[in-house]
Amino acid sequence: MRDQALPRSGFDAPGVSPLAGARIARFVRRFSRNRLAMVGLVIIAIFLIMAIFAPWLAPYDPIAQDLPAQLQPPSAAHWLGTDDFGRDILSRIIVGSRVSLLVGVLATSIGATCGTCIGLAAGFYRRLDNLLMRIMDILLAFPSVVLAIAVIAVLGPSLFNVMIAVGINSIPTYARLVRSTTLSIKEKEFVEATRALGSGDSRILFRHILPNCLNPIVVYSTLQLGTSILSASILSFLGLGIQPPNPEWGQMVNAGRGWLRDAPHIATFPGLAIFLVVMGFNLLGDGLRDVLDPRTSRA
Amino acid sequence: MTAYIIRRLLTLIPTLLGVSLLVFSITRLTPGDPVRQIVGPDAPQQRVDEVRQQLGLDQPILVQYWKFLTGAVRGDLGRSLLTRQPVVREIRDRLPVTLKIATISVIIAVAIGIPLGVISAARKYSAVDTLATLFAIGGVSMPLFWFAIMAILLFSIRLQWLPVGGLHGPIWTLEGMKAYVLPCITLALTPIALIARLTRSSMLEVLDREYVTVARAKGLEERRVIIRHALRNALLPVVTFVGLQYGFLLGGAVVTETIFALPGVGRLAITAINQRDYPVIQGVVLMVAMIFTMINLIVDVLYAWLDPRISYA
Repeated sequence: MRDQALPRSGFDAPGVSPLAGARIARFVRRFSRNRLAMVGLVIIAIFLIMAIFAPWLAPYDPIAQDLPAQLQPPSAAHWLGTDDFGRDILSRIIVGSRVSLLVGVLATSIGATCGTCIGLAAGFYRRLDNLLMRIMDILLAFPSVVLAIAVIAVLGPSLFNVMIAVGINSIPTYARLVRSTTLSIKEKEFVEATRALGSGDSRILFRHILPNCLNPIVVYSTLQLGTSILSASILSFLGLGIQPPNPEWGQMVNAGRGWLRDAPHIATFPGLAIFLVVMGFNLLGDGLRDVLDPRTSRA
Repeated sequence: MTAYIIRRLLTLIPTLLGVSLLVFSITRLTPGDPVRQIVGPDAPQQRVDEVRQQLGLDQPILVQYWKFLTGAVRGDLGRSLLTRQPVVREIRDRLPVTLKIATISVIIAVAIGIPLGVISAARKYSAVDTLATLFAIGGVSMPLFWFAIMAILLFSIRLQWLPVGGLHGPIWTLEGMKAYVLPCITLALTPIALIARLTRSSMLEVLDREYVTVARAKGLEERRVIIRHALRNALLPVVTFVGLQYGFLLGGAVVTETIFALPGVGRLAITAINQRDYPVIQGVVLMVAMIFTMINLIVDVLYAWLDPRISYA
């Protein structure tokens, strides 16, 4: 017999049943009423379009140097001005959005995947619980920047290592989140019924318990996307991330530090881009939490 | 209570052992031969072997870990590869600056965050509340390094009120104090936003309780209801949070110390990474993790002491 995941609050996979369709419609209705969340969605959509169509949207080559045009303030030719190598800042921000969003998505995915697996195992298997949670406590004993620095110290500065460093930081929170849901779900009668019908541990975990953990994971991941982008930009700012001349927002702010007196626009605009995209994810995450996970939403 | 503290202290042991193991692994997991990185790629094999023996890297890994652990307990974290100074001395010389920045930032965050949260909750959905909410969202989304640079641009370069960076004498002098203003405000920004948000939600929850309704029904002045009855209970989760923030600020100091050229532990860590000075990296990471863990312990105990509803069992 093919067993089905039991209904969970929030939304289900699209096109599963009329009930799921009604849930999605209710979700969209409630979400669209939240004005701040819609602002966040619009900001994210703009940056996403910018990242996808970057090669066509960027007016100049983001790496090509044009020394006669160096340190120009914003003008009709260069909307956001040029840097000390004469590179167009708008083009570098547009192309840099790819790096920032990619780091955000991949780092969050690393954290979510590892943390979810650990949380499921810890919540489901009592024997593993203590060991896994103590390991998570060890990771939590480091402030995030310090842990990221330790990881970069081992792996060396690069974009990929930044993703790993930022991803590792979020593993304990995901693990705790999923563990607590797993602990409550595994005691439910439908899990017992599924086991009685002959389902194995992996089927129960991934077919029945995991779908019930998805709402808090989705909400936390949206907020974590902003945090990951922010953390990655800090590491790049400190010179531990992507290396020049490839454009990355944090590294661009760092490069502009030396020109604050003569060309403050070099540091201003990339920082503004980080601020906007992180705020977009925070607004979106808050809105999703209000709709999907109202128990944990702020008053 | 004493039993609770002892039990909580005992749970620290496995965590601290794990932390030490992780920190010990920093040099051992680094790709390539750490000795080669110290002596250089062209050094003769004899020199490599000598240094390996001096550092004890020729011994079994468990022996190496035991030596590292016992050394750390005695306060011996080795010597900096760069300055040849004991790592503990390097950290001890810089720790006061980092602690000053973190402590002043926490004080600023509490002094602004809590009143902001209280006013926000007391005047729910008013213009003040909306402004405070927007400030909170902006505060948690702000890249601190960018905020710091923008603050330097405005207050140091354009207005010339504050120094661009560095220390300018003891903190009790005007010039010395000025050097801490921008770093501390920068570091306090996110905690202000988070504390204001938490205080607001905690206050709103408490203001709905029956004893607050009773206090109002008795005819107490609203200010008295909020401060004497609501705030005292609403502050419990905030206390925990403030404690945790102090630990996070030690990490955040890495960024502010780098931007404002302050000789703290964070800047020491970044210099050590760039120079591949592994003993210093290990020392800084271990020290910050220990302080962070101890703060968590103090916060837990303080919370249990403040809230009589918490069972020590």
